[in-house]
Amino acid sequence: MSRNLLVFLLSSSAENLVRLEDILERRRLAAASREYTAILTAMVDLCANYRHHYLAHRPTIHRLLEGAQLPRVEELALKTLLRNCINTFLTLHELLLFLPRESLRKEMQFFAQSLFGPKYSIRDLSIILTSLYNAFEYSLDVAIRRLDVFMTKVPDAKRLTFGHVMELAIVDRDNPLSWGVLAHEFGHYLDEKHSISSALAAQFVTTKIRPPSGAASGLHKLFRDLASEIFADLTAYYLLGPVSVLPVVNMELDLGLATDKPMPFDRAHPLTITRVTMVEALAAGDNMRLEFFSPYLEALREDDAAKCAQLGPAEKTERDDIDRYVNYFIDEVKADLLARLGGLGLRRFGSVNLQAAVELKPRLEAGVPIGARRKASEKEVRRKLKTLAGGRKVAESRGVFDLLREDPASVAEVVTAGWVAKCEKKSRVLVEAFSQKMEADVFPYLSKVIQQQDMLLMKSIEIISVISGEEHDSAGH
Amino acid sequence: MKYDIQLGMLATRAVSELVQAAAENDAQRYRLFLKTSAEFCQSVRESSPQFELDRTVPNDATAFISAVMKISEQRCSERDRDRVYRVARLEPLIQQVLLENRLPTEDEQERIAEMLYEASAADFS
Repeated sequence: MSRNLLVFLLSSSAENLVRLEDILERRRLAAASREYTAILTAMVDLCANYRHHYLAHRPTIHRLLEGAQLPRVEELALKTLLRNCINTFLTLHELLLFLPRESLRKEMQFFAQSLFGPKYSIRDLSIILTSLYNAFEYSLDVAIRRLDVFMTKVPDAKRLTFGHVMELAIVDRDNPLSWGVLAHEFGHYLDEKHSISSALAAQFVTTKIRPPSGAASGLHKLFRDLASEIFADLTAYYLLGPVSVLPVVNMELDLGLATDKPMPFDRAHPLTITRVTMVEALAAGDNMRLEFFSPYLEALREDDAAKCAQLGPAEKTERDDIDRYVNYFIDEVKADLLARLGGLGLRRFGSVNLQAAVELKPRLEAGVPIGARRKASEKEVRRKLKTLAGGRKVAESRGVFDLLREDPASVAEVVTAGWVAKCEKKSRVLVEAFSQKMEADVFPYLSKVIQQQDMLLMKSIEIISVISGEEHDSAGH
Repeated sequence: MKYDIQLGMLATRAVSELVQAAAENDAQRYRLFLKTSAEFCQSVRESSPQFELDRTVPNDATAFISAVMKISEQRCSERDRDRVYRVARLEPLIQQVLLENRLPTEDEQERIAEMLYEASAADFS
C-alpha cells in the first residue's frame, strides 16, 4: 500500500473515530434516560480502546508521516488497526439509529435552500439523518418499498406516492464537507419530479440494445436506475462542482479498507472510479483544475488498482465489461441530461467559483469565516481610504466607503474552499496531532481541529444567510 | 455488512502487542501477541457457521448433528470460508511457538500479522 493511501486511511479512520466519540458524548449528555446508558457506555469504551491502540502504533505512524518506508510487519499491523477501527465505526454507526436522534442544523437547511435555489422547497423535500449505507446507496423510498411488510400488507402498495426524502449519515450532521451528498439526492428529486432520465434510458434501450420483448422490462429497469444515478451525479457536479464527488470517494475508500475486493457493480451506481472519471472530464471541459484534490483522487486510483489485482481473470473481465458499457452509456446520455439540467434555472458552479474558493481558502486557514468577501483587496481599501480628506464630495467619499461592503460568497464556494484546505493540510494535521508531547493530547488535538473546521464552515454558511437576508430585506421584499 | 466487533478488537489487540513488543524487544509482549492471536483463531473457529461439531457422539444424535452441519454449510459465505481457511493454516504454528516458549521469528510474525489483517475483513457478500 502506498504512503499516500495509508496516510489517507489513517486520517479518515481517526476522523471517523473522533466524530463518533463526539456524537456519543453528546448523546450521553442529552439522553439522560437510563435505558441508553449501558449501550452508550459500551460504545464510548470501544472508541476509547481504539484510541489506546492508535497510541500504541504512534512510532509507526511517526515513521509513516516522515515518509519512511514501513517494514512489512509494521505496515500489516497498522492496516489491521485501521481496518478494524473503520469496521467498528461502520458497525457502531448503524447502532446510532437506535439511539435518540439529534435535530438537523439550521446551517444545513440554509445550505440546501441556497444551493438548490428556486427548485427547493422544504414542503416537498425533507432531510433525515440516517445510516451511512442509506445516505450513500439507497433512497428511503426504495428501502420502504422493499420491506416485506410494505409489499405484502399495504393495499395497492405500488400506487402509493411518497414525498422525497434526502438522507445524510448521522456522522455528517456537523460536517459541511459531506453535505455534498445532498446535492446528489436533490438530483434524484429533480429527476423524479421532471421525469428526466427515464425517457432517455428507455430510448437508449429501444434504439441501441433493441432487446427481444421478454428481456425488455429488466433492461429498462437497469438502465433507468443507472441513468437516474448518472443524472444525480451530474446535478451534484452542476451545483457544487468537482468536490461533489469527494464524499463518495471518502466513503468508497473507507469501505474499501473494510474488505479486500473491489465493491461490485450494484446495478445502479457506476463504479466510483467511473464516477470520478466522469467528473474529471466535466471539470476539464469547464476549465477547472483538480490538482487541489489529487491526494483523494490518487488514493482512490491506488486502492482500486490494488483491489482489482485481487480479482481472478474472469471477475476482472466481468468488471471491465460492465465498466466499458456503463462508460458508453454515460457518453450517450450525458449531453442530453446536462441540457435538461441547464433548463431548470439552477445556479451552475463554474471555474470562477473554483477560483473564488481557492482565494477564500487562506482566510479559512487563518481561522476567519469566509461567508462574505470584499470586491477590493484590503490593501486597495486602505490606500483609497487614505486619499479621503476634507472637502471631498459626499458621493466621492461614499464610493470609497462602499469598498468596505461585503458581498456573500456562495455556499458551494465555501464548501469547495473547505475541501481545498482539508486536502492540503491532511498530513500536516496528523503530524501535529501525533507529535503532541503528551499521549493524552493526541486525540483532543484532532478533535479540536475537526470541530474548528466544522464550526468555521458552518459560521461561513450562517454569514451568507445573514447577508443574503439583509439584501433581500433592503431590496424591499 | 457483516463484521464481528469482538473479533476485530482481538486482532487489533494482537497487532498492538506485536508493534510494542518489537519496539521494546519485550519477550512478555511477544507472548501476549501470540496468546491474543491464538484467542483470535479460536474465536474465528467458534463464530464461524462452518464450526465443526464433534461427530463422535452416540448414534441417536448423529442425524441431528449432520443436519445442523449441513445448514451451517449453506449459511457459510465465501468470506467465512476464507477466514476459517486462513486461521486453520496459522493456528498450529501459533500454538507450536507458544509451546516451544520462544519468540516468533520475523517470518512467523509477518505470517501471523497477515492472517490477522486478512481474517478481520468485513463480509459484504
